[in-house]
Amino acid sequence: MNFETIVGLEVHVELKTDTKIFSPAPAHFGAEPNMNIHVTDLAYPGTLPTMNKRAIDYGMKASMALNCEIAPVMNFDRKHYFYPDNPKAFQISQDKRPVGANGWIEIEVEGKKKKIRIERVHLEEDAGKLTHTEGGYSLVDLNRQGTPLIEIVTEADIRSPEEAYAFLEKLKAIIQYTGVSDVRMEEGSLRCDANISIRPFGQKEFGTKTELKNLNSFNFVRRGIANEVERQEKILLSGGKIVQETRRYDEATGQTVLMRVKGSANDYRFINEPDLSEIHIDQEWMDRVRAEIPELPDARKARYVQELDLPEYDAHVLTLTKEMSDFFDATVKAGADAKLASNWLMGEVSAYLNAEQKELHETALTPEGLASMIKLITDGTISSKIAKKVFKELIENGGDAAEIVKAKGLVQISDEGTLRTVITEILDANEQSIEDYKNGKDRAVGFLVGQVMKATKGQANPPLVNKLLLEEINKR
Amino acid sequence: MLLNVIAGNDHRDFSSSSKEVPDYRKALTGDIKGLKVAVPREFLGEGVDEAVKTSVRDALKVLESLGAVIEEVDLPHAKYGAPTYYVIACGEASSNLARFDGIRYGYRPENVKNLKELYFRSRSEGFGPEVKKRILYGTYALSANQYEDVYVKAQKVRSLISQDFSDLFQKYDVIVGPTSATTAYKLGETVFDPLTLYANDILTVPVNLAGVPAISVPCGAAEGLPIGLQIIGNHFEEGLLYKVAHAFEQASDFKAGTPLVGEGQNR
Amino acid sequence: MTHQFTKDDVFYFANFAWIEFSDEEAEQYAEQLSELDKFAERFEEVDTANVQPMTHPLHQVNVLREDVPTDILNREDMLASVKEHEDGMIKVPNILS
Repeated sequence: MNFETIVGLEVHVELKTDTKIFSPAPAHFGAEPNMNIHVTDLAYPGTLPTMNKRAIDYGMKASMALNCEIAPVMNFDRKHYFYPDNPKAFQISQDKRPVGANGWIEIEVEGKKKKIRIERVHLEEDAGKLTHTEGGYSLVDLNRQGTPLIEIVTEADIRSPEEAYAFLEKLKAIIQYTGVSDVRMEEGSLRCDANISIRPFGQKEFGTKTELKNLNSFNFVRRGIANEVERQEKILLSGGKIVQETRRYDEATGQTVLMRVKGSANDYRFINEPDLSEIHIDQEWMDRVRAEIPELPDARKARYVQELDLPEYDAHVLTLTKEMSDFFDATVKAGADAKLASNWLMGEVSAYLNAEQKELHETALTPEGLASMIKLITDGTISSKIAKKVFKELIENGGDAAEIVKAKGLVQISDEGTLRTVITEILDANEQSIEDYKNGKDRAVGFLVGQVMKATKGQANPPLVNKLLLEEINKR
Repeated sequence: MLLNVIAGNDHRDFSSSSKEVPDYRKALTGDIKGLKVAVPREFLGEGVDEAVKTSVRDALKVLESLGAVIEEVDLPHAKYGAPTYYVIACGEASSNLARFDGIRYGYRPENVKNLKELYFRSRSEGFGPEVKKRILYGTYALSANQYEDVYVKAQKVRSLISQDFSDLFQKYDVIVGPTSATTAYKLGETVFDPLTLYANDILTVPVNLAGVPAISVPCGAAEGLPIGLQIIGNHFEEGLLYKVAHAFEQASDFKAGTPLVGEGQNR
Repeated sequence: MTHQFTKDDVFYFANFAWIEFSDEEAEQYAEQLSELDKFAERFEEVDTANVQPMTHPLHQVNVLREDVPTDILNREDMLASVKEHEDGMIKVPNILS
């Protein structure tokens, strides 16, 4: 029997505000334990929540970028549960009236485009952090308590691990473009749970789903879903039944492991949060937030393909992060050829960033610097080979390519007279190679070009050397 | 005056009003001529002591003599005040008191083996019986199966109670009635019956649910126990309440004496 | 539609409220809760169709705060109320078991 994979994702994204959503304590990653706290975060008796305006702006902005409808009237609700990282024993969240609903994003897998619907986007507060010690007790740090989050819930539209990966990649890019979050999985500012079920092809009803947690990278999401689907298939094929349960992905074994069986015992007792006012969002507020959203990846991608003639693949890679895309735009604006700029950014630049574990802004490279180098390549002043030397200087120390070329004497030799002199000397010293060439061994030319390049320390213009060399050989 | 100091916006309380606070002392002119006074029939009906009714009627005559116009009116949903209050107060209490878990502050038992025991023992040993009862009832009222029928229903009835008051304040300046259905308890008197205790809140609870201001002034006594006159105003009309209460005190011949002292302990 | 509470009801709701009761206590509370719920029975005669639930006396809208840090709680002051702590963090017993 063949099964269809059904996946819905729940993605939590931490918003990059200066203060927490319901208290004026700072909301930053990486502080010493319990230094970013406010009496409200500790849930001292009598303390009351206060609503951070920017958190609402950011929630709206993300919702808009995800093509959601914005709730004209919304409120906050209490969701009750006991845990040491949840001091009030309720989380302030949005139950019935979330900030955004009915959105979608478009993904592309193996050349096929598909819309994944987003059921809702709601605002809520994050919990504190628990560290389990070997001594059998745990330690509570409430710095993260109250950090604003949006939870993005998709419809069960995802049909493969690859689609889940593509969705997350796209979602991350969109959110990152809006600037409301760093969306760094390794810092916990993006977290993902997956609801997974399978059903025989053609069946209408969904199968029993399991919830998969502890997915710490997009790759683990992909592998975790694949493994869970495999597990469910084995159970169904051997006549078993899927149990509704929460599982986690074990990175070491690549398997999903049972965490807990979901009983009906959960009752969150949602109530309207009486200590916060209702939020009414009018057209003016929406317009103001919408105006702050930059051109998003899909629009940029389309522009690169249509206006700059870039291949789809280039356009996709360049728009994965706003930083890369902004850098590319600025490089083209500074006069660089678009395809060459794309090649350099996707090639040498990305390789350098990977090797050095750096981000673009942490290097000395500027769009103007890269453009100046590309212009020298285009007008034949330097060869691609020399360009690599110039590039190393540019990305490590910055500056202008033309000046680097001048200072280091890296200008390409395109003067025919100079080159002919060198070529004549090389030919005089390599009679055998000329003989070989004339006997049909084409490889001999390659060797001779290499000798010329060596003699000019790589500065000779390669196409010109090729041309002149053949002319000189044929004279003999 | 105290209210002049405590009134106003609290930036740490997002449910507080940011309205400007008037100087309430300027209200004490003694002049209430033409004041439109509504007296809800429900406040002088069944379940209210005869002595209380008599005192309040006398007080109304005093107001009338000062030029106030008195009319009987209906406050139809006021009788649902007590159940509404109990459902909402218990529901909110179960939520608000959930934070007492022995972890960050407050009572924490010794020798706990695991987290669950810490929670259960902190809360079981730390809360008194009345609080536990309210938490239990509130948990029930907020549970998924009861939420709409009990908690939300109470919130809707609260809307109707509040609407009754708003409707009256369209036509009347103040609403007047007894503060309590019976005379005060003797100091130190023990009242065991919870229903009697609840019944005594019946006339003040609707006011609290609507969130409108009210003032209580002594207007008589029966067997030496004081009786209170309740004057209710619209939102932010505290100044008017002081004005009416002050005018009444100046004009009435009743002066509060020393209440009788009973025996036993109220709890 | 008043609810007659049983001992098991008390245990059921107590479990959500994280309070424990003896059998005897549960019996007593069951009785008290049933008594209390008789009050709510009166709601049945009230027509609340098309009535909005009320959560606060003043219907305020868009009460918001600017995103500026203030009033940070000093960690030592916070730890002063905590019975057991370690490295600036609040100690809690084993979560499992």
